[in-house]
Amino acid sequence: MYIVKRRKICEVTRMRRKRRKIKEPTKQLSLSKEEVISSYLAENKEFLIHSPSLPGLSIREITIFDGRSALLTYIDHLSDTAYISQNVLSPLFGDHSPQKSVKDVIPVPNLKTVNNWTNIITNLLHGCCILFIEGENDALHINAQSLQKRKPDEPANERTIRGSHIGFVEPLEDNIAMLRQFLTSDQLRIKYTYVGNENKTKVGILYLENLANPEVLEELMDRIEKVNYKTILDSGELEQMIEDNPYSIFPQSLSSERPDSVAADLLQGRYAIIVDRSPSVIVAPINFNSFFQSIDDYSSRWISSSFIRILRFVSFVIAIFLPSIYIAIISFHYEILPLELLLSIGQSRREVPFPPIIEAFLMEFILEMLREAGLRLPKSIGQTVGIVGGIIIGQSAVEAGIVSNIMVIVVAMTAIASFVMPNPEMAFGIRFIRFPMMLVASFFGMVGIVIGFMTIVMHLVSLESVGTPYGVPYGPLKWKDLKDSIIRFPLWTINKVRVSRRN
Amino acid sequence: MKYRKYITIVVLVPLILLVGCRSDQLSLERTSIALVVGIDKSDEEGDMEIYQTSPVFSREAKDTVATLETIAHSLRQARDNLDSQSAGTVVGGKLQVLLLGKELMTDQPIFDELDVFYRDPKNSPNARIALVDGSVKEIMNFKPSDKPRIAVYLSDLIDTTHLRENAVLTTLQEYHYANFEKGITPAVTEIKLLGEEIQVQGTALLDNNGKYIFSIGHLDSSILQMLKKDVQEPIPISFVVEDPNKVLSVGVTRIKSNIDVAYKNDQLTFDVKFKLKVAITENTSTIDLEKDQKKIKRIIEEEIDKKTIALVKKVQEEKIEPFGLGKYVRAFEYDKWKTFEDKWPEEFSEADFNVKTTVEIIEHGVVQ
Amino acid sequence: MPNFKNNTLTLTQFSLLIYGTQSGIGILSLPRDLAEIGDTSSWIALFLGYALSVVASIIIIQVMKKYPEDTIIQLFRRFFGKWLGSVFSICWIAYTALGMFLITATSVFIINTWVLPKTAPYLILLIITIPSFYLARNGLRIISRFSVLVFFFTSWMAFLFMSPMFTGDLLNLLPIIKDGFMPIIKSVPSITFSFLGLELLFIFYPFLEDKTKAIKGVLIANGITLLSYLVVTFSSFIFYGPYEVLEYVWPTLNLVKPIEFPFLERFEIIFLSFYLLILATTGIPYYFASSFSIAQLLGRKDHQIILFLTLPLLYICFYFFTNSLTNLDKLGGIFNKIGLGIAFFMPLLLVVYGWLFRKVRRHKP
Repeated sequence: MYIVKRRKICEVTRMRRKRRKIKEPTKQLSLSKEEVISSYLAENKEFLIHSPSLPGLSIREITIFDGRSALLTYIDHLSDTAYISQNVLSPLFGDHSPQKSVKDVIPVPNLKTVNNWTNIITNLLHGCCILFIEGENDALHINAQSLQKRKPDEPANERTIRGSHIGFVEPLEDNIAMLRQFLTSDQLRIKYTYVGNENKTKVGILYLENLANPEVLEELMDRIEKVNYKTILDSGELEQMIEDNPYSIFPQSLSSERPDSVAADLLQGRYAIIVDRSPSVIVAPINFNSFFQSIDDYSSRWISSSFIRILRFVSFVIAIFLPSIYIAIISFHYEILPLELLLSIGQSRREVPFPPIIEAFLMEFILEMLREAGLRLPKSIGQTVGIVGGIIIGQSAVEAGIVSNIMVIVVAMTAIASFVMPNPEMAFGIRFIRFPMMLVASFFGMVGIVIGFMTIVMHLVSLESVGTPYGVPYGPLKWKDLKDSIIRFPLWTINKVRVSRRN
Repeated sequence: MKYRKYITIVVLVPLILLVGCRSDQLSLERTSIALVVGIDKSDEEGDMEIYQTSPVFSREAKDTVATLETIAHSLRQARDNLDSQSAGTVVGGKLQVLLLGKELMTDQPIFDELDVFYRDPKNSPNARIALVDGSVKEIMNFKPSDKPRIAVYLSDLIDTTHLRENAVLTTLQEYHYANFEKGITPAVTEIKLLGEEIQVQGTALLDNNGKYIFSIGHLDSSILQMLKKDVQEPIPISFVVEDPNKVLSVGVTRIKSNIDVAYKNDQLTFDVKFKLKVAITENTSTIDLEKDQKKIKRIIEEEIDKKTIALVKKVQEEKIEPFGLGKYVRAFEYDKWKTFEDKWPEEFSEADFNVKTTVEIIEHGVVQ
Repeated sequence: MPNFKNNTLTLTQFSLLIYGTQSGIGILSLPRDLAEIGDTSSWIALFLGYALSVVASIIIIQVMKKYPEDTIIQLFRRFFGKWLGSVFSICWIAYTALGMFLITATSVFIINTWVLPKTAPYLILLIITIPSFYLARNGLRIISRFSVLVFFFTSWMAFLFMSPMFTGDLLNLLPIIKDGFMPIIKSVPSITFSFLGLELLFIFYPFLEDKTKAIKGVLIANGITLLSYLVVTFSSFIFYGPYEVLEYVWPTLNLVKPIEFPFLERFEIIFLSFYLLILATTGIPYYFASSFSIAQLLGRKDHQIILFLTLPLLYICFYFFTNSLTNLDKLGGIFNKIGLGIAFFMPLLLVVYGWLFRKVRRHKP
């Protein structure tokens, strides 16, 4: 069944390719030097000195233990000089028998030979150290990278109460190592590829061979290879390039900085895409339900986590629909309120000169501005902004008769509800949808809201994530998967291994 | 995807059309929500006096309620008149209470005139109907300082009286039902302005044209609802057991009404059995609750039997039938029912009616 | 043109798709339609209607089973040749298009009467049709996903309809058989109209993944339809009694009106807005069926462009159509009569014809 579907996926990709005007990838470097190195040190030195792509190159001519002269090159600050002097220089100067080869002397685990200028330049730029030896056709390549590394600590926006407190860091290899700690399975496979026209970024795709669907891998690799963009600095950029529907408001892949949650996703047959220099890892394919799950849910007891799940779904509905329902009721269907509530809303609305839609837009905008302002400011000031904005503006807006009390309550509730979502991408989507919803509500009332709701549902059932249905387990109904949706059944009843299915 | 451009156009065009388009949008504070509507007889033949109160949402206005009045042939016409009198648009979706003047209902009964309440789907079917003994105008202008606004006050009053089963509660929907259902005649709450208080008097019984026939008091209303099998809450009943004014009060907590209909010797006969479970709530007499249980039971049983028979007699005399007993005839004697379904109240006035009450005392409080 | 290969439906999707197509506008006036002919005993006729529609569905399946890859359009061509087949196909397309128009116009009319009396009808038409187009262009599988979701989203409505049963009087249902069996049998035709929608099996069947489950699917679909009709009919009869129910144009909607919650009154506004979802699952399959049939007739693989071109046509038709209850009733009457022919008589003819057709073909190799 899947194979038939393939055709459609390809069609989609073809269209995307067309849309993004994808050219064939150009060659790696603009250097014309494709030729191999010379066995004469002087020629090599000449080349290196005049190479425009190697600023800050440090070249040192030395005489090694067997009497030959050699050329040690590296780029300052990219390579670890202490490492070089300890592991390269001191053995080379040491007292060895001249019969020994240079390779046997240097005590580093990873020693390779290179003879091609293109590779040499790339490696130098990655912080390696290259050793040219008089009379040799190959140069030695010693990995002496000195990276600015950060200690892996808990990601700030994915905190959990229980579970590990470790987060991904920037280097790709470190992240893979971290994942490995969680997944020691011999089924873990890693596929590497490079993305970017100007600047190649290493991308690793991880999956569990026995669980993952190979068709999805093919599709994923195809999409990543077709990416035509100057450079990928963060996984977020790559994420946008490989999405199924870039016009959708809903994120179609998940990004996480937590190795444990990525490992959990891998165990469900998903793929993790790790981009070098980016601490957030893309998980695909995912479905709508994934945005309501958090790794915490599985470590706490099932009743409490089911309650939290329900809370999230309720918040999802509140965050999207509450302001529009308010507008619809005030301007169309005041009948549906009980009399006492109606009278008190009428009292609070009586001084407001604007129609409800303006009132709502005003408050929602102020709220979004406050949120954005608080995000960038230092923590202490951020809190002040929140208090000043939230309490003072709200209070005085009501007193000045610009907005009604009820509107302030509605806006505050929406704001809180939208922060309940565990995933910031989804939370943004939700916050955005409520504006068009408010518009239709102000034109058509409840009918407009239901039409909006209908459109969202229709969109969700049509969406796909890497060719697999997005609405699972609701859109295409999957009874088994429903056990881990609105209610999280006890762990032993959930069959966590899921291979993406159609329909 | 090929047609995305066209789709965008198709989506955008209606959005443009929306601007400046006629819409149902009507902000709450721009409405004049009719909460109580009163209809009374006008001096002019064929006309009605129509009153309406609505809440006022404005800081400058001192009153929170505006009462308007007009004279018109029909309710729709009245609404147009009232619309020109009030600042907001008159809307009827939140109607709480519909007051009908007793005089009006005696002289020119209206049911067809209420058509607009049913025809316009915007109107509420849950408004309570009450018959006013006296002038509707006085009640509409009733503004005591110790009571909430009239709409809230009236509806709470009617609701709580109904909770005590001392009067029926008839909504517009139920009134409509009672009018079209051939096996029942309508009954509505009756209220009266007594000096500074509005009081629920009991139940007003109407005939099928909506004409006012007669009123019954609190206890009779309870019996009426027992016969309608429409009792949810305990009914408080007090009996005078010893002279003078020594009272025994009971709360009837559970009632089972068993209504049998049969033709005995070609005579329509109803056998009604009430099974009451009562709790004694007050005793100022010298009756010993332990020893004289039988006596108490007998007093209550006789009293209820007597009252029921008296109520039914009176109803039969007036040729109405507010109990809905016709439904039993239809359900169990359908062939006979077919012959008189259009003149059921007349048929009922000929029927035999037997009632038998049995009482069980289940508690008498925490003192002997 | 096996473009339904990557659009296969599971059993749940198949049955709820048919259920969605069946339950729509009919249910709104069903209690009155029934009471007019068969009084309060007419609910018995619902079971007869169910039996009839199941039989009709099974016959349709028997017709389609012989050529599991064919839709009705290809079947017509196979049976009757290019020209005659095309004529039949055009009739079929006209019928489905009429169905789509009728449902859309009724939805607009109901919304206009009950919720938004002052809003221009064409605006309501626009906001209804645009999401429909969005969904229908994605193919039948996506439509069926939507139908399944809507079924679960709207299942609370059944409980809503049960609540008037408790406030009403059960005596209203007695005696169970009032005036003999004649009125009950007479009300069967108006019930079969309410089961219309099963004729779209002619389009849906080739998409079904496991063809052996087709009969199970129609049993489930008709069963759910029957159940929802029973709930509404019982509820209306118990609540209104035999006389008042005749007073309403749409008794089902009036039934919801008196329901109140402590925090919410006038439930019919919310109910009716959500009812749009159910109307969508009725209208969109007809919309899809007509466009898909046109695409098949023209030999096009892609039905999107036809879906898109249908919309302006719909708007033009709507412009010349005076949307009133009388006109809708008239149009509905026509639609029901054709539907009766297409859903109940045509399959019979096709079965016989197909049998002859194969016999003749076998004789001349």
